[in-house]
Amino acid sequence: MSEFKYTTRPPEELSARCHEIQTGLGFKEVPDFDNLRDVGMAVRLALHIRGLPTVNFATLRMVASHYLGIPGPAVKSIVEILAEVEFVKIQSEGRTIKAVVPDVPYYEAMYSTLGIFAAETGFNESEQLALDMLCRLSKSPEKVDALETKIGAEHKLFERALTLGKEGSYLRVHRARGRDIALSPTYFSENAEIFADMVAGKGSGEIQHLMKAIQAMQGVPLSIIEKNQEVGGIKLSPSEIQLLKRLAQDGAVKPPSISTDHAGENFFLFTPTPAGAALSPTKRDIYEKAMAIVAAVRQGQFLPQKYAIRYPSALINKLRNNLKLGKSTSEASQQYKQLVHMRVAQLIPVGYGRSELRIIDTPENREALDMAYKLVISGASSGAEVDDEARKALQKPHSFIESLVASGELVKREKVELSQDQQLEMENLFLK
Amino acid sequence: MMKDRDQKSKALRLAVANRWLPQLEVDIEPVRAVDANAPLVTDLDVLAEIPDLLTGYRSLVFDCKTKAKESAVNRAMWLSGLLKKINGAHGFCILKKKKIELDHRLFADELGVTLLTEDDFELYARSTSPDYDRPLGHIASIDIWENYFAAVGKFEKLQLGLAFLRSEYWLAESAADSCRKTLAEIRKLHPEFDPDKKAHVALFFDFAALFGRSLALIISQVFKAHFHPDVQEDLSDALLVLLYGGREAYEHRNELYQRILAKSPEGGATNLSLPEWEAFLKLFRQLLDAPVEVQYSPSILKEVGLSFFVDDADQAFAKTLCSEHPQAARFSLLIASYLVKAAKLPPEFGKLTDQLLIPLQPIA
Repeated sequence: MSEFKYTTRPPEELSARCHEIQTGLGFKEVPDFDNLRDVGMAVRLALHIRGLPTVNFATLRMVASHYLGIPGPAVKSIVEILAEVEFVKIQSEGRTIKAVVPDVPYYEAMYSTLGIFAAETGFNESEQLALDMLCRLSKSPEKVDALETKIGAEHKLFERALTLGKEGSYLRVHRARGRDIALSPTYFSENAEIFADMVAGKGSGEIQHLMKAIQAMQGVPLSIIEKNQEVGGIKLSPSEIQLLKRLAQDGAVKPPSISTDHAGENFFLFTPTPAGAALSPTKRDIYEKAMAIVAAVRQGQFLPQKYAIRYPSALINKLRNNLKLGKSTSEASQQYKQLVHMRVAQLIPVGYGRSELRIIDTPENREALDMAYKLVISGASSGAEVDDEARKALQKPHSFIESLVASGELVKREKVELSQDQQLEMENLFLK
Repeated sequence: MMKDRDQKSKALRLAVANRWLPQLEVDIEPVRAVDANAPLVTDLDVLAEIPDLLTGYRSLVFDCKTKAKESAVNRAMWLSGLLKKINGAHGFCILKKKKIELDHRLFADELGVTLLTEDDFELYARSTSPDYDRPLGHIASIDIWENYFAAVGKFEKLQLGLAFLRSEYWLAESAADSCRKTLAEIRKLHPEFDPDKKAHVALFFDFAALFGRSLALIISQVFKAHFHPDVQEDLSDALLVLLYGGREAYEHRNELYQRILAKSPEGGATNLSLPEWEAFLKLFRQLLDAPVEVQYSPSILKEVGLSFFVDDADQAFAKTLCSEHPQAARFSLLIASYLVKAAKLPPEFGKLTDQLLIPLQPIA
């Protein structure tokens, strides 16, 4: 096998992939993996205790187990890893940990420090293979045979890695045009069959190029892409534009759309909604609100009736700070209609066919505005991977968590959703 | 024996009962002295810093007078001028008198000064502060303050550090100035600090407390403008400019710094910044999570230092302060840890910091 040069990968990419794999695996036992899982759990725990006051260790164990998929017996060693990288200080009595004092950095330092730790500790062959696979699949789905060739692993090992990925839910294989296509459900959870079909037909290069272009200008209208044959200065090929049209029109999950009298119905394109490690279930609704906000602003930016929005990030920032724009427009009722429907905002009529947008002040809407701002500024949102319920639980008294566990409430929290493949199978069963 | 001792003792108690950060006896020196050995202008008997949501802290001055013939209203006018000079919010004059004229009190109030006889003070304290009569820890004890000053005074070089904390620190023109100067001072003295000496440890925590106060003030400015910066470079840039007095001032200093570095064979930070800059950014960003809580960390640090000085292993009052403000308790640990690193103190100070502060962290 050509050695997976994990030491040449950016450390933050390594720890992020470990996190994705561990989030997919949850409690499943995988004897092939060792350090990878520790690093994944360390990232997950660090994300959730960052910024909190001192946490009771017994509470941390329970919450980690029930919310974060970290087995109780593993929590001590994970906390020790975090202490080793100076992300926590430990309050202990003898060898018993009593409490954990968070000192987790913000920004990339969180991922990069743990990535450096991971690289220094090293990975075994199976771990290297899993990481190599995911590093490639995070950019684009790949034909399975092409993936095997690129990685250069022994066939048996590769098959084992594929099986682990499927059973561990951090990798999926779709069948398209007679080919097996591997993809990461974290980054390609929606409309996977369209992406798989594209890769089966044309290879992964175009998908990578397309995702990069869309990320640079999240929420751009499809009609503008078709007209200009480019996104944010990046030229797109006809087949790439065709893919985007398929995603908008044929995908099971359609992108946000806005209908106006002057511009008709328009779709606003985003990179696939993150899932798994990249988006906590509690944040999904908020992310969708964020996309709707960005779409509405892009409508005003690219498809205005009269005056275009010149600085979309400034406009969203104004909404973040003031919860309103402070002026009415005649376009507002159509441009922001979806936000009203999603209970993000209200439209206040001010007469003469004009309305003023006012954000409904809730913590979720404020968070959606923050996410929307980040999507426009950097193409990605951060903080979406954190489970707010877990963080709240960590700050409750230990007796409260104990009573929840005793009543079985926390265990019931987990729900299993059908994947798109399973949904198709079920529908076919009913068709027969 | 300190003059006006009894009054100062009560002022200390009132400050601590209200959870204000106290400082006993601040010497006011001329800020831009002409004379090489400029004499003191005056001194403040007790200074108390009141945590404030909007400004970081508001300064309160207690002026203690025992001369029976002291004119209360004249004293109020004096204190009013001093408050203006140090940007103080309010002053208390405590006088050894039987009575103060009502019109003088009202006049003084218009100047931002409250006139109190010693008896009035007791009434005032008990009426406004339910904790005044409760056990208040070592920072409320004038005996311990005096012993601490005397103990540090035996170390010639470290006494300069204490003198800085009792004077120059409080006269800095901005929080950025006081932050940098505090770091500079403790770094200058770092070879003198011995972790085996209680007075040295207490002095370290005193430095940490006032460094924390400067941070709390800077945090309140930065938070109002930047809230939680999304990108580290934005935070770094904003802080550098603020810490060095503006972009032009920073670029000027940085240029000089670069020129000196260019001549030196030793390595160092490429651009001018505080020592252990990455660690400072990490600390600062965490403090932004609870910008008001930071304001309570200095009292915790001060109390811990004095507890260690008097061999109080129980640290009951420090625990009380920590349980009242859990994030402040955590921030105290992080601030002290950063300072050990940035000041290049012996590593035992780091271990001591952990040993003293980690057990105080409140657990739900």
